Amino acid sequence: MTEILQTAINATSSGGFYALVAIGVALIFSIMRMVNFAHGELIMAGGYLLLVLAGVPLLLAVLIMILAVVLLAVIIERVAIRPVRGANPATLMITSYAISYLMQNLVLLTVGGEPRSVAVSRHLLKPIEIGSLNVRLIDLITIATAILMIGGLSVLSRRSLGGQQMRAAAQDFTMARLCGVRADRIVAVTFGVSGFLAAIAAVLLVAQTGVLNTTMGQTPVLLAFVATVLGGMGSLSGAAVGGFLLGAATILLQTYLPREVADYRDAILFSLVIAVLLVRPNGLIAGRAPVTRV
Amino acid sequence: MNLRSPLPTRFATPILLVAGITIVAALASTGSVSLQQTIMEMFINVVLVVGLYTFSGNSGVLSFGHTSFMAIGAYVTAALTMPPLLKQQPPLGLPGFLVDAHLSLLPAALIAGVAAGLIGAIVAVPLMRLTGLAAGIGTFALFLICQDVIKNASTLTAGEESLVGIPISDTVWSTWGWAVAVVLVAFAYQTSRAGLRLRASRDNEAAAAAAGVDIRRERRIALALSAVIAGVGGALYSNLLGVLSVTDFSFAASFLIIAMLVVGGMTSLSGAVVGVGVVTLVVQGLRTVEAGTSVAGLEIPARPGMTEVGLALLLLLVLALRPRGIVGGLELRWPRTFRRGRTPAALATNPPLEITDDVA
Repeated sequence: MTEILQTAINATSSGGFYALVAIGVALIFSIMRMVNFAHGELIMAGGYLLLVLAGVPLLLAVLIMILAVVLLAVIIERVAIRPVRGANPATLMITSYAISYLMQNLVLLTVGGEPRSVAVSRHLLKPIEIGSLNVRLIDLITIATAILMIGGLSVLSRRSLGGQQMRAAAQDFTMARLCGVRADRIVAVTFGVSGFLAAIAAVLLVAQTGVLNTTMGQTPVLLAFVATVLGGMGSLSGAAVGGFLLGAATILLQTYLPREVADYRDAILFSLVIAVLLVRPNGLIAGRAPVTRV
Repeated sequence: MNLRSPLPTRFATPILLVAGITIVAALASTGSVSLQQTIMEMFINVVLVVGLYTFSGNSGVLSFGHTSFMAIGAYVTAALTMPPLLKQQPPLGLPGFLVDAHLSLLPAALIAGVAAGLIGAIVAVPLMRLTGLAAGIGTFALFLICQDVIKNASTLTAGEESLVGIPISDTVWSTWGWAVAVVLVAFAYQTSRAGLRLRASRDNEAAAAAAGVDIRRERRIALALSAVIAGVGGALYSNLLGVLSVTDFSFAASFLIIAMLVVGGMTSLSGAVVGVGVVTLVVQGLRTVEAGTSVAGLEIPARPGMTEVGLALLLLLVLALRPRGIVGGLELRWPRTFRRGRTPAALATNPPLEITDDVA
């Protein structure tokens, strides 16, 4: 029983983290139809900013970092993404990858390629005993943060004007503009929000691993990208569910796979993804898929 | 393409592309060793990018999974061409029938292509049931599965270590031959009935389906054919380097191939070839600067990472200025003054890749 609970907490924490990254990716996708690889480099930039701000009190450092990453996200949109807005999906995707490649290598040029360590707080990683359970504080914080962020975002997207405009733009961008939604502003706001989510993910990731390297954001975002499609493209709840399932499945497979095939965990995981997509091609929670009618 | 136009007009694209590739090969074969190495690499990239184009360019479905087929080709070639003694050195431990095989590159590359094509044909059955982004993610999952297998099947691939000792025999003219052959195959396919049906489905899925095109079937054919080409590309690649490791088939490698295709223009064969040429030129130029040179008496120190930064900036610039690639979906044709007869109809451009919301 204890063991099952222990695994459940680990799986929930991992799932929560991927859900957080996945909604950041899904947010941009829903409005721009762009797969935003650069989201990972926003996370990476957040991590390195924490390194730069090492002397500053933690809370202040995190605040400054969040602001800087939000600003960075908005600047990236303005400088690199706006020129290709509305191009075909392949072009958009290559653009976002070029940005991510550029940022990785700029860090390589300036900071260097060797991994850096940065400690957010030792207390977070120490296991605490609850009954017979050994739980790390960071896992609980990750779960709580993910719930808070996803909940907050879904309330905001329904209740606030910006959120409603965002949803309108996601449904039909041209129609939303005709109804008076300002395209440039809503896209900038969306990127800002995704930057905020990336910054939060950066704090959690760095607190969890304590290691920085130039490609640290790439794997989470690639998985988040899979998660978004798995959950259902274009719906935030779909992305959250997909991210959660993928993260949780990783831990569960790791724990319960027989030893002989445990090395092939990822191969099994992604075969499952293909299988799910075959049954539900539009994802688990299908948004309104654009169907071409003649 | 107007089937009634005279032969030189109908075959303008392959003639011009092959001529271009041949001129580059002739110039390079007299050059330095490092230039020859660069050009061989470029020709192999032509094979890989045309392989990707055969599927993605004609179908409009992006594939992240093509490095998997490339990897299959590369490791099959390694298993067939390496000296028997090296094949049992741990962590390697190839099965008996492979240990004794000691082929030269040509048969090995053909077998590698067939092997990759078979795998391609098999995975195409489930993957091509998916459409749009789900299909893209399906190929991406294939890529991740392949990574995992390379890392863990260490008796076949040396796992996380490098597989060394693959005999090297590529020359400028042998890689030239493969590049030319692949361009001709790709052209033959895209002007064949099957190719035209697939291109019709790319331009308008609903209309093609209504006209009786079995889109899944056409996509399966294209994926299998492009897997064969990618497998051959992988064979040549392993033969060029003599060493293989899992990083050769990483996401960055996969992306470089996609980037070359998109920079040139995803929807035409000319775009695929031009994209390889342009990206190779830029990367070589940047590598020279990165190594540290002096320009007009000004010392430029060596900076690792600069090639990549420059390449990324080039990509962003090209995409901002020409979102549909350098050739913009057109094929190469004779200059207007040499053209005989009436041809304006044949100049028709390809419509946009797919119908999407107009994000202004």
